[in-house]
Amino acid sequence: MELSQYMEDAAKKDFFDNVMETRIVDGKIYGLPMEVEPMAMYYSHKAFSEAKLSEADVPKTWDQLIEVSKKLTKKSQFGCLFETGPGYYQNFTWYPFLWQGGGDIVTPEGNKSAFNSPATVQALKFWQDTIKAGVAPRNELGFGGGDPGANLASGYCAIQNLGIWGVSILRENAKGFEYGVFPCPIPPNGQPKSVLGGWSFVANAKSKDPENAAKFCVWALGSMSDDSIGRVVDWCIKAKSDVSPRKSALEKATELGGYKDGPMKVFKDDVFPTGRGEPRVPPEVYKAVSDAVQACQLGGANPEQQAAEASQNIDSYLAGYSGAPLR
Amino acid sequence: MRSSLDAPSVVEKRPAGGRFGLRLKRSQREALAAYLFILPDALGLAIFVAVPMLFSLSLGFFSVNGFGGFRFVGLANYQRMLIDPLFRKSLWVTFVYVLILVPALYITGLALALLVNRRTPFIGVFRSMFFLPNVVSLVVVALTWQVMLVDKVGFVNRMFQLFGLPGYSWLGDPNITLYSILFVTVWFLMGYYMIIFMSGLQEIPREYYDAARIDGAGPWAMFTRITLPLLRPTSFFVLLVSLVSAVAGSQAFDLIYVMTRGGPANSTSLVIFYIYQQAFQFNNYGYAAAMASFLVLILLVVTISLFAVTKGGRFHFT
Repeated sequence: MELSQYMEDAAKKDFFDNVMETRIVDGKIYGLPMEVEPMAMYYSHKAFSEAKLSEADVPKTWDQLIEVSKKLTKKSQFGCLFETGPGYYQNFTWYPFLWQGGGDIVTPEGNKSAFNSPATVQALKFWQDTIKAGVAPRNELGFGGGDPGANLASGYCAIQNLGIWGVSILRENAKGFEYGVFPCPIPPNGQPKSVLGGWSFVANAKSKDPENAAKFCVWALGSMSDDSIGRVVDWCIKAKSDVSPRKSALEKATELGGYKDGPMKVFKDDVFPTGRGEPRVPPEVYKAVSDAVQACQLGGANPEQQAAEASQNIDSYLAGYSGAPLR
Repeated sequence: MRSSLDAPSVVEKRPAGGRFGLRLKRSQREALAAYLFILPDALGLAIFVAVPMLFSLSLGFFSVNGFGGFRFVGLANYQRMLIDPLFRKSLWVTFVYVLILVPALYITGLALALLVNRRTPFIGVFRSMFFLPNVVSLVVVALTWQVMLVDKVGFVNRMFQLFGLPGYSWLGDPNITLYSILFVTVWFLMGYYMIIFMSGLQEIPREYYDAARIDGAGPWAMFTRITLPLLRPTSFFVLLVSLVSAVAGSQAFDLIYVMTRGGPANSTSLVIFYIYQQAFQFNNYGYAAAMASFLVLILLVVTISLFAVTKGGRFHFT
């Protein structure tokens, strides 16, 4: 159900473009985000100081990350951790590394595969290298790579690829644990990129009362009234630890001190501006990408071959696809 | 011999015709009683098994997206199965899984039963311990083993380190993970089959062994000439039940869902998991239903051949 028909222009413009790009079809808004969750890297201060590393050693490139991780890898600790379980979440965490080298899943028109590219190959190889070098684990603790308490704070890994929600999880479950956040390292000639996760409100056009459902979404998150903006502020900095999807709400949350220092400031100032919305792709496309990532990361497969194979699968699926263009 | 069924019943003492004015012969009344007794179960089976099966079978001929759209596509879902490499891969994974699981359960179940089928102090404690995993939820089992099998710091790898052995990624290496799942499945189920084998063992008369011993038979001869042949009905039951549950992935689904989600690199994607994925993650209900029908067909073939080979599980001893 189109939500923008019930929104004022000011409210439409109040949402950040990079957050909305995957929620708009033909200029119409179909999903209103309640939060933005960018991905970055977390590191443990304790692990760094034990390895005689300092903030100056925080890696900026892929090669540096592997080198630093080697120094952090011990008998019972991995240097870094990337999600290992197959699923939408793993793909989500891998996209920044694909985009950093200029790669993409589909062409800008959204109807053909762009997956068979050097950027894909190097991103697949990067994750594979972390496993081959023995610096990253093949599986995780707790509820997976999105869980910093079980992995980073427990000492299972020293650096963890993780989204902004980790801040509130650590705040609540690992009191006293000291850590820092830095943007995802980049490949040679690469651009800093992050992926923006987070949930949205949508209304089912085939439901009993779609109009009121849509109006409710707009009332809750997408009107210019103080309570609508305040709701987003509360949700993003009090209930959780997220970037606000609305300019007005981000301003207000900043005034309230939600991003004044530490990890939240890094996420807002350094990571969020490099972010791109989580791609909207059908399951068949997701699965093609997932199989390539899994095969390379954990199966030791050839990245060139996997990129080509996945690209072929995506194209053969898109040949019969008639939905909204992929983004 | 008279069984309790032949005993004069209350019904029999009523005047002919009964309360409903029906004149039934004794055999008809017995048949009626029998059908009434099976009725509740039969109704349950019809409503909760037969109807969904028929529904699933017909769903296989439609394209269903989960948003209310049904489109008849004939055999397209079945054609897709033939060319889907992931489906073929999942069939292969299932084949390996079944091929290892069924004999492994047979051997461990029987071995445990032989081990605990003796009168030694505290034997009840051991029996209970072997059976204990069965009373725990499979999700709890999976979560526990997941922690024990994790890279580097898991209990199993710590033990390996203690003995100077290299660690392995039990749940993260596509060449190993299926076997880790199999190990946990056997660990979980062997106590159940132990109980079944124990009941079989206890039905074998002691006298046979005494007679054999007098004739000079050793333990191995007694096992192969007395125990194994007389366990045939039990063996049939164990093989059938373990085979069906292995093909249908009854235990595997929970373990795989929690421990590996079909990974790494689809190495633990059993057919049952792939069906789940297509249906509930990808919204391809029609395709999933077609694969489920195919799985039922495999199960039928397997069961019928097992019945044929063993003449319906009926054994005659001379």
